[in-house]
Amino acid sequence: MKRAVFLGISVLLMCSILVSFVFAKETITFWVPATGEVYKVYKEAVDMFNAKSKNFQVEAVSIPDMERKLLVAVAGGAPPDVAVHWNPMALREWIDRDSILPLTPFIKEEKFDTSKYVPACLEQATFYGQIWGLPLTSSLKPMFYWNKDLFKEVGLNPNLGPKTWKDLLTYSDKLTIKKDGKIERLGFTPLWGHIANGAETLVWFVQSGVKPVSDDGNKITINTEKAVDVLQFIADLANRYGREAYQAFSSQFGSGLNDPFLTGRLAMAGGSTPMAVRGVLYYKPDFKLGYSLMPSPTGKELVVFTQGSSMIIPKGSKHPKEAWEFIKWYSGPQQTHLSAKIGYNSGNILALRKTADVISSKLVLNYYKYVVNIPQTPAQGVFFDEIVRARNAVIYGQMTAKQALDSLVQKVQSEIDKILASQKK
Amino acid sequence: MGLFFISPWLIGFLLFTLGPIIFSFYLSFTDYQVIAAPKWIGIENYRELIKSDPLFWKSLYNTLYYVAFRIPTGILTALSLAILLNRKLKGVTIFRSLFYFPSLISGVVLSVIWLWILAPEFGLLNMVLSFFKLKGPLWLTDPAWAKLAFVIMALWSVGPQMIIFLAGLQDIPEQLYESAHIDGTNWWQDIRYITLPLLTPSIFYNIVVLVIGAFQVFTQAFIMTNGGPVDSTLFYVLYLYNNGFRYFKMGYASSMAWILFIIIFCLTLIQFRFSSWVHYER
Amino acid sequence: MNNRKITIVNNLIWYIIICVLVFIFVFPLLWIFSTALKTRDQLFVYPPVLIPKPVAWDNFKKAINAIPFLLYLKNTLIIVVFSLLGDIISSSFVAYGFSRIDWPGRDILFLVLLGTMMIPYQVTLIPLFIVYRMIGWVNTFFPLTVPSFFATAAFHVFLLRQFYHTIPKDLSDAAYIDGCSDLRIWWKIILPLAKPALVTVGIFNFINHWNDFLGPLIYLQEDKKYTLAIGLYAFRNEFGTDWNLMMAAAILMVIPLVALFLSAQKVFVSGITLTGLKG
Repeated sequence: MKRAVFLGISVLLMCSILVSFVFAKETITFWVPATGEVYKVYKEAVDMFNAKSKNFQVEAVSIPDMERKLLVAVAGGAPPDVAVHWNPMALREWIDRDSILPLTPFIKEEKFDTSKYVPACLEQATFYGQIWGLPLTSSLKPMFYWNKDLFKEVGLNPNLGPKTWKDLLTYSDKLTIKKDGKIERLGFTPLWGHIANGAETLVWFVQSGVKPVSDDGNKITINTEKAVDVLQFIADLANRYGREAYQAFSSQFGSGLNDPFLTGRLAMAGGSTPMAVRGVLYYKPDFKLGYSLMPSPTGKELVVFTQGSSMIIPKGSKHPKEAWEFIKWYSGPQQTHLSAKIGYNSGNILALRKTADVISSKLVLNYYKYVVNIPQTPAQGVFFDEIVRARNAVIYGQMTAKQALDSLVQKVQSEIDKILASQKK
Repeated sequence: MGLFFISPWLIGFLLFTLGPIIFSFYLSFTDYQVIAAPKWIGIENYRELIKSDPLFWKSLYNTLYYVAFRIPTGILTALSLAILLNRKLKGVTIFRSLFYFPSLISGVVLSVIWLWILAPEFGLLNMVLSFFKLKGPLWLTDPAWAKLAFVIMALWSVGPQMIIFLAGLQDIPEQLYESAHIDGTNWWQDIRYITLPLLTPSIFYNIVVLVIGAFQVFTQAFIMTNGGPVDSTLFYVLYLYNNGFRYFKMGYASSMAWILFIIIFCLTLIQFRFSSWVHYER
Repeated sequence: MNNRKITIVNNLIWYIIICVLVFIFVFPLLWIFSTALKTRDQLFVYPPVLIPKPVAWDNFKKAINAIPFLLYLKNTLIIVVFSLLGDIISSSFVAYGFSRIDWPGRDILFLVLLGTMMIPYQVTLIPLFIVYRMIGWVNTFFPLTVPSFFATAAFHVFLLRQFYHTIPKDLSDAAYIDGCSDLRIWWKIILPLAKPALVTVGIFNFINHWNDFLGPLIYLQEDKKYTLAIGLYAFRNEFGTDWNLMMAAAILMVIPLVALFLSAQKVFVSGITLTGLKG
C-alpha cells in the first residue's frame, strides 16, 4: 500500500514538473542602468509588459555600474539577453568589436516603422547601413539654463537668456560677485555641468563651424585655426575671474552634494534636459528655471547634441527574438513612465508628446530639430578624454591652444589608425 | 609535510589564481580589445608604453610620489597611535574603536566626506590650519597638492595598520618592561630597546603590505578626481584602468600591470633580503 | 607617594593628547551623521550647516524601505560568514606550513604567494570571470566565498606567518619530542597562541567582504542576490544622489562592523604573555 502511494506521488510530481517545463514561460534578462527609485520606474513598465506577454517573461535586473559590468559580462561570455546601452556616443566602439547584434534583420522582416523615433537618436544608433539599437531616451545636451531670480536681481530680463558669446560674457560679468579675490557667485563656467564633458565641449567647436571629425569618423580634424580660437575662448572663459579663484570656488562643488546651480552660486550653466527636472521638480520645486540652447558666436548657430540611451541586444544573447519583441514594446509609444515619473526623455516622439507637461519632454520637443550628430570615431573613449586633457592643459597654462590641439589630434589619430589596422585583418 | 600544510593554498592557486594570471601575462603581448578576440603583437605594448607614452611615465611618477610619502607617514602614524593606545587605562577600548572607525568607511561615502574636509574655503582641514595661522592650499584642485591630499586621506584609514601593531604589542610581556624599570629606564628607552625590536615582525609586515597596496592606489582617485587636475592624480593603476575599461586597450593595460608587478616584486624582494633587522624569536 | 602623583599626571596628559587626536579623527564622521539627518532641501544650502533643522530621523526608515534591506543583509551575511570561516581556517593552516616547518622551496613559494597580490585586479578581472563562467559559478555566491577556503587572502597568510615566527621554536621542539604531529601542534599549541592575530584576520576579512562592491557587482546578476554594498548605490541616479538617504544607509551598514570590532576588543585587552613558560 505504502509503495503504491509513494509511486503515485512521485509520478504526480514528475508529471507536474514536466508540465511546468512545457508550459513555463521563457524568461529573458534585461539589464537596466539604474538602481533604487529609478530602477523601480523601469520595473513598473516591465511588469506591464509581463502582464500582457504570452510567450515569455522579462526579468529586469538593476545594474549599478553598467559600464564595467556589461563589458565584463560580454567579454566573459555571460551577457544579458537585452540591455540599455547608456553611452550612445560610444556605440560604434561596441559595434566595431562585434559585440552587439544588428536589429535591421528584424526591422526589415516585420517592416517595422522606425519613423516615430527621434530621428537624431535613431541616427546615433545607425552605422554601416544598419540599425543597432532602438532609442529609449533622447536627452539633449548641452542645454543652457539660468536662474531667473538671479537675473532679476542684477537687472537682467529673466526671460531672455544670452544669445551670443558676447552676451554670455556680459551677462556673466554682471552676475559674478567677487570680493577680496574670492568668488562668491559665478556667472558662468564651461567647467561645470554637462558642458564640461569631453563630448559636450565639442558644441563650442561645432557652433563655430569647426568640423571635429571627418564624415566617416576616421579622421580627427579639430586642429584648424578656427578650432584653436575656440579652445582659446573656452580657456579664457574658464579663467576669466582668475584661475585660482575659480579653483577655490569650485572645490566645494563635490559630486552634486553642493550643486552650485541649485544653491544659487552659479547663475548660468550648461546641462542636459533631464537636469531641468532635477532642479525644478526633484530638489528645489520653487526654483525659477530659464532655458534655451547654448549661446553661440553670433547667436544664429543653433546646435545641440543628443545623448539618449538605446536598447540593444548584446552578442551572445540567448533569446534574440524575444529580446527584439521586448525592445519593440518597451521603446514604443506607451513608453511614458520614465518621462512622467523621473523626467527622462522618451526616444519615441509619440511618447514624448504624451508627456509634454513634463518640462524635459517639452525641451526635447522644442529643440530636437537642432540636433547635430558628430560622426563617431573608433576611439571615442580616448577622444573625449583627450579633449578634456587639452582644454585643461591650456587653462593651467601648460600648453598653448595650438599645441594642445595638435597633440590631441596626433594622439587620437594614432589610436584610430591602430584600431582600424587591427580590424582590417 | 610542509607541502601538506600549504596544499589548500596551492590547490586554490592552481585552480583560481594561476590561470587568470598567466592569461593576463599572455594578454600583455596581444592587442586585446576586450570584446574582441586577442591578437598577438609581441612586445609592441611594452615598447609603446616605454618609448612613446608620456602618460605612462607621468602616472608612474604620480604613484611613486604617493608611495614615497605614504609609507613613512602611514607607518609612523599607525605605530605612534598603537603605542599610545597600548595602555590599560579606562576607556582605551572606546578610543581604539574611534580611531579604527574611519577605516570602515569606503568608496563613495568616503569621497563625499573628504571632498568636504578638503574644500579650500569651508573645509575642515584648512580651518584647522588657519587656527594655526596657516593658509591651506587648494588641495584637490591644485596640481601641486592633490597627491598629498590623497596621502592625508589614506592616513585617516590607519585603523588596520594600527590594529596589527596593537596585536604585536600585546605579545610583548609586561615582565620585560617591569624588569627594565627596575634598572631605571624612561619611556623612550622602553620604546627603543624593548618595544621596537620586539615589534619588528609587525613593522616588517606593515611596510611590505603597505608598499604593495600603495602602488595600487586607485579607488579614491577614480571616484574623486578621475586623474585631475591636469593628470596630477593620474595614478598608475587609474591609467591602467582607463586603458583597459575605457579605451578598450586591455592588452596594453595588461602590459602596464606586469611592469608594475616587476617593480613591486623587486622592491618586496629587496625588503625580504634586507630584513635582518627583524627579530623573530626571543 | 611621588610615584602615584607622577602616574596621575602622566595619565592626565595621555587623556588630553588622546582626546585631541580623537576629535580630529572623529569630526568628519559627524559630517556623515549630519548629512544623514537632513531633509532633501537642506542638502543644497550654502554654506553647509552642521546641525540640520529639522532633524530627519525617518531617513533611516526611508533608507531601509528604499532597497530590499533585509534581503541584502541576509545575502551579505551568508557571503561574509562563509568567507570568514574559510579564511581563518585555511590561512592559519597554510601559514603554519610557511613558517613552522622548514622545507626546500618554502620561501620561493611564499614569494609566489605574495606575488599574487602584486597584480592589479583590473587585468585579471575578465580572465577570472571567464574561469568562473566556465564552471558555471557566475550569478552564484561561490566566487565570493569558496576561494577563501583556499587561503587566497595572501596578506592574511603573511600576517599569521609573521606571528607564528615569533612563537619560540622550543615549544614545537618540545612537542615533537613528546611525539606530537605537526597537525596537533598547529591545533593545540600554535592556534591558541595566535589568537590576537587570528582575531585580527577575522576582523579584516569580515570588513572586506562586508564592504566589497566589485565582487558582487561582477558576479551577481540577479537583484535578489545583491548585497548591502551594492544596495548603497541605489541612492545614486542620473539626477544626483539622495545623499541623505545614502548616508543613513551607510551608517546602518557600518553598525554591525562597529559592534564586531568592539566585541573583538576583548582579545586585545586581555593580552597574551608567552613567557608563561619557563626558560
